[in-house]
Amino acid sequence: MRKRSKARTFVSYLFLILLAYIMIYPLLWMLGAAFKTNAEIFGTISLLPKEPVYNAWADGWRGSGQYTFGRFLANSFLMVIPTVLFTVVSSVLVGYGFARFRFPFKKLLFMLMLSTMMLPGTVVIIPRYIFFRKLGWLDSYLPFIVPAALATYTFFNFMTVQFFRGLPLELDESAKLDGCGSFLILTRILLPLCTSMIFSIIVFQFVWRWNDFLNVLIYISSVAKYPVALGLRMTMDISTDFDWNRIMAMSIISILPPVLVFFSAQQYFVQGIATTGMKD
Amino acid sequence: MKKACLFALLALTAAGTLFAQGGKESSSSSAAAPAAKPVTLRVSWWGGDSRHTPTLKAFDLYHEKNPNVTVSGEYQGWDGYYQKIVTQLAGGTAPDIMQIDQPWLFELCSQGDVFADLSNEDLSQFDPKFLQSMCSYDGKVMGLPTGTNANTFLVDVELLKRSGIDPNTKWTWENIVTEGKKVHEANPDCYFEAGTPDHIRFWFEMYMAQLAGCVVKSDKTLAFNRDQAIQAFTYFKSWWDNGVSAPLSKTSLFYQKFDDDPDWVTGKVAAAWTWISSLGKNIGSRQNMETRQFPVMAGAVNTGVLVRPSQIFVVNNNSKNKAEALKLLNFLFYDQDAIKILGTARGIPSTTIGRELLAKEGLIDKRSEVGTNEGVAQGGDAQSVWQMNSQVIQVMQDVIDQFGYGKLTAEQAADTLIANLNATLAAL
Repeated sequence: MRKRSKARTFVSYLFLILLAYIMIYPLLWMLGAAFKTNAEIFGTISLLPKEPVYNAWADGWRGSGQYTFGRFLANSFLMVIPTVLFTVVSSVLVGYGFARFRFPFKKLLFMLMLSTMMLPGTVVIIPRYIFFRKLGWLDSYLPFIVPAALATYTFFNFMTVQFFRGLPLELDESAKLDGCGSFLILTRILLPLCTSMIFSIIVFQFVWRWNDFLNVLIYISSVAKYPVALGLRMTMDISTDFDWNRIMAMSIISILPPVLVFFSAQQYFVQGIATTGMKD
Repeated sequence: MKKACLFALLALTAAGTLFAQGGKESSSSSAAAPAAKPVTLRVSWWGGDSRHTPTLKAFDLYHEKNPNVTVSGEYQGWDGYYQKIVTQLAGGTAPDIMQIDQPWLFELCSQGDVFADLSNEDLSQFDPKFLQSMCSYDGKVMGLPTGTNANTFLVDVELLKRSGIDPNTKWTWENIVTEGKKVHEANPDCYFEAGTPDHIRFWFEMYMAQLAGCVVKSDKTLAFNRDQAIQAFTYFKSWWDNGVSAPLSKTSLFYQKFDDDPDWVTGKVAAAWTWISSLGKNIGSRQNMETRQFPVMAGAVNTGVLVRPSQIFVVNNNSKNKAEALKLLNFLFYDQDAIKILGTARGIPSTTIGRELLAKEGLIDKRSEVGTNEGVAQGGDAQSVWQMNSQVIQVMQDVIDQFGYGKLTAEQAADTLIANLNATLAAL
């Protein structure tokens, strides 16, 4: 009996390791490619470089000469961190409002909010662009930060509403009986129960904003303000030769922050998916 | 309750309309800046490091010579550049000078007076025919060509020799098949032409140009008839039947990037249709690559060999610093130091002075020079805007794909092509 279960464990571990290897293979390949020349990247499929070159990291970091990659990384943080923080605050407030209060036109407003989620993003690109231009916010990070502060990322509002609805009303009522106001109910009673949800928002929003290409492409025009997503593609041209190993090296650096955020918040995040029943 | 909802909705819509109208721009009144005032010019282009670095250096030199002018470059890779330019033009935030691709000129110009008319500038350094056919819209010169780009036929001399083909063969449509198949016969892993689906389309368009003048004429009608289409499809079927190029099932992975195909990189493919501007990227680390001229059939009206500006510099018509922008363009095109700094970052210069200076300094890559001269010598008519239309291209590509996968016979392919092209053109 014991022997059999050992064999079973062995087989399942083997299977898991194999699967993990397949999943992580592209990343390993990327790491290997950072040390290969163009000819080797396209000419062979082996993981390990045959004649490793080591200049990709330094050259890629230096970039075209005007700005280093560090500048783009810093820009990304400048843009993403406020956006994420404001998203958390605003969507918690909006979610709390929809979940716990009764006010006129609540159903209609909720529907309107949800309908903005159904709207394909591409439809509003031009009107939004013109809107931000009239406000004079182009070529700054305001088109990302201010909408976040005004809870326009509907997905997260919806997520918080659903989460608050799942918390028993009795908690609020008992706090009210003890003389607690509605804001204190949120901060003292409900929020401590919401850590998993908040971490979910942080992880999702961080990764999405970090990887966003189209919006930054449209709103940011001066190279000095390029975030990573634009900085990475700056030298990728269709007609001129460029070193792929630099792109690979810088790609690895640029995925580090989201990966770190994910792993440091992983414990709460997985809980969050389990409790809200959502992923991506 | 229902009524209240309706009112709320109405109110919202009304507010939206008011808001949209209330925000009318008020900045159009500002006058042109006096000469000595500090000016910032925005210039956008796409490219790689080999273009970014020299361009920025040239701007530094300009700033040295004109301390009141600061030039800020907005540069990026190719991906998304077109979308960005279109958005900026629509939103009125486009840079003062933009680098655009020649096929965009018509599409962008047809949206209104977006670019400044350059007809009255000193254009003596440019080939007037080139300006006329490639850089004009509605009879007005809209942009200046940065360089000359031409189709070329890139061949691997060594591989041809090894396969028993004379590397100096003058290529004809017939001997591409009769000689070209030897590459595959000598080594079953090797092929003569890269043969990605887009390549077959380029060759098809060239074949059609020689057979019928072009695919779509400038009056939006088809130039070819059914028999000619059947002839063309039958001819390209012989490429696959004889192993001149690999089957589409093998090459379609590398649609629009034949030079990423491992078979190409490792030297198993002998030849490719391409543009001079991409030679560097195409060749990569391959050895023994030379350019050749294209096959031309007897009695062809049009060779179908494309010659066009590498890119075009246009001046934003809404720019507040139009005069300064023109001065900067003057500098980039005519200043000796600027020409030397820029080198061939945007192809072989299209100005006489630029070409002469770079040739004298030995800054032009021999292969590009030979290829450009060969291409220009063979140069055919420019394609009509309808043939360059993205939807028309897609129709041609779809039919060629279906034909290449054996879903259509040559006759069916010809019928489908004619029917689909007519339908698409009617809808444009």
